[in-house]
Amino acid sequence: MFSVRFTICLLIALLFPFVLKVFKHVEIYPSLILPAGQNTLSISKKQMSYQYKQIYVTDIHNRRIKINHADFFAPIPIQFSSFILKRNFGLKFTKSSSPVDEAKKTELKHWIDKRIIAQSGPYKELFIVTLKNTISSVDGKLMESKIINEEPIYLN
Amino acid sequence: MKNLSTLINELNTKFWTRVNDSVSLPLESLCCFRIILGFYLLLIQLKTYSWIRYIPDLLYSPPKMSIARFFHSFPDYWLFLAIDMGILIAVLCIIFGIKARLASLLFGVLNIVGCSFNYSFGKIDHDILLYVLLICMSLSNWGTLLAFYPDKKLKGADRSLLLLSVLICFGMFTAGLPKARTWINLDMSSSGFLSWYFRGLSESGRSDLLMPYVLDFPPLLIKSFDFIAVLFELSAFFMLMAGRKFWKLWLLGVVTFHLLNCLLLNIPFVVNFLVYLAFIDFSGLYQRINNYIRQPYVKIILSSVVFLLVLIRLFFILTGNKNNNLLIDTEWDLNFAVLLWVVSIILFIKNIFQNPLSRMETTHTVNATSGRG
Repeated sequence: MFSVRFTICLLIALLFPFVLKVFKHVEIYPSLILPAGQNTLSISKKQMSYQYKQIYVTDIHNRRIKINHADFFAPIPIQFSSFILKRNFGLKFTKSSSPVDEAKKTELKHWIDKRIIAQSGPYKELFIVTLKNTISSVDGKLMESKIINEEPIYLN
Repeated sequence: MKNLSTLINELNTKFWTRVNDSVSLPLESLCCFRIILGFYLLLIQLKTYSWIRYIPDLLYSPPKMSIARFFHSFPDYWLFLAIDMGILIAVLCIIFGIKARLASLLFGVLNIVGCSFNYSFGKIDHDILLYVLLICMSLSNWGTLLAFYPDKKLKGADRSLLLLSVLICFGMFTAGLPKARTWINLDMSSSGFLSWYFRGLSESGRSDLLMPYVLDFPPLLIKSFDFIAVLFELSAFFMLMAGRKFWKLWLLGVVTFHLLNCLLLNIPFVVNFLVYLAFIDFSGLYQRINNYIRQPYVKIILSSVVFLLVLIRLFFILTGNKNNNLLIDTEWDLNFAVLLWVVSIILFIKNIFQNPLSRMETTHTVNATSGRG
């Protein structure tokens, strides 16, 4: 069997990251924490709504085209896409962070260009659009899709 | 003071003895499981990391506390290549039983290092139990039988399953406790289950299998999912302490839970399949595998299959292809996950009616020299 000392050390090693996550919202990697996803959704009315981010581009004819995220981000797993978009592809920086390196910006531009051109051809502008979808809780049908925010991404 | 120390000692011994009663399996079972795990990893679940180097550095956003924090951007391609090659070699050693204990540790550690960078896009995925399994197995004697280059037998190595079971229970506790705070209420106007449902719908745009029918379910049933999930996740420790039958029942419950998640929420989460499979008694297969691998034609066929799979994996690593599963295309992964969870339900139902002690007695009579395959 395991010794008392081992059991206590194990308990501390397991609890410390968990306590940090619960009270400070900081997740250590690696740590033994499984997905909680404790959020709830309000279904008080006959409808439910959720927000998400979507990439759009305007092509050379000024038409707005929706970009397929799975193809765009591959091989990055699709579940990471919303987190990347939240940070505007790493271009969103705080007061404490250093300004974006030009070489890194160029690298990002080439990466994005390649992926968008493969999907929709040459483009003029790139946007990250925050949408709010409202769905009927009775039959699950989409009732409304509203643009909440629209952020252009400048890579030049 | 002495009394307190004795009491703590007694409690500790009681705790681990209880766990041991619930989870212990014959060594032969673990050795068979090692081969099954090795093939499964090689064929279905081998993560690669070389592709990360082709991602722009501006997307690099490591967790606040992680190995990746020591780097300012994604590291050099050669580091990822070394990790991928190390993992591939470790899997081969696990299959063939070449210093399997060390290989398991190598597999676990290299994947955790690789994942530290893989999870540097702003989100941490929770597939750690697979690597925990391999690290736990590095404390076991699973490389002592059915092995080309067997490990030396360690005393007390049967503790590996004990540790794994406690870690699984703790993992479930970390998932259940935060949910309990917000999901356990009689407020019919809020739903945790539907929060997962719509998150999946908006993130992946998926609506397959039974997902389109979820909103037709009665509100009471949808609300009950919140209670079932929390109760189930928080009950792991109790079931482990309650005894072998209860632990097996909980394991059957967990695979059923994953099947339901797959059908209703389109969350396959097959990464934990092997973790639960470790608690199935495979000792009945031991004699059969031992006889088979002595046949020259089986050796040739097995080596050829493994050689072919390794070539494919090498090609994937060198071309930056991150496809984990060699059997099916990604668009079929949900159907595949359903199949996998159904198979595991059948295995766990069989396992409940199996008597491990009689099996243990028969397998321990196996000639000790039959270890070398």
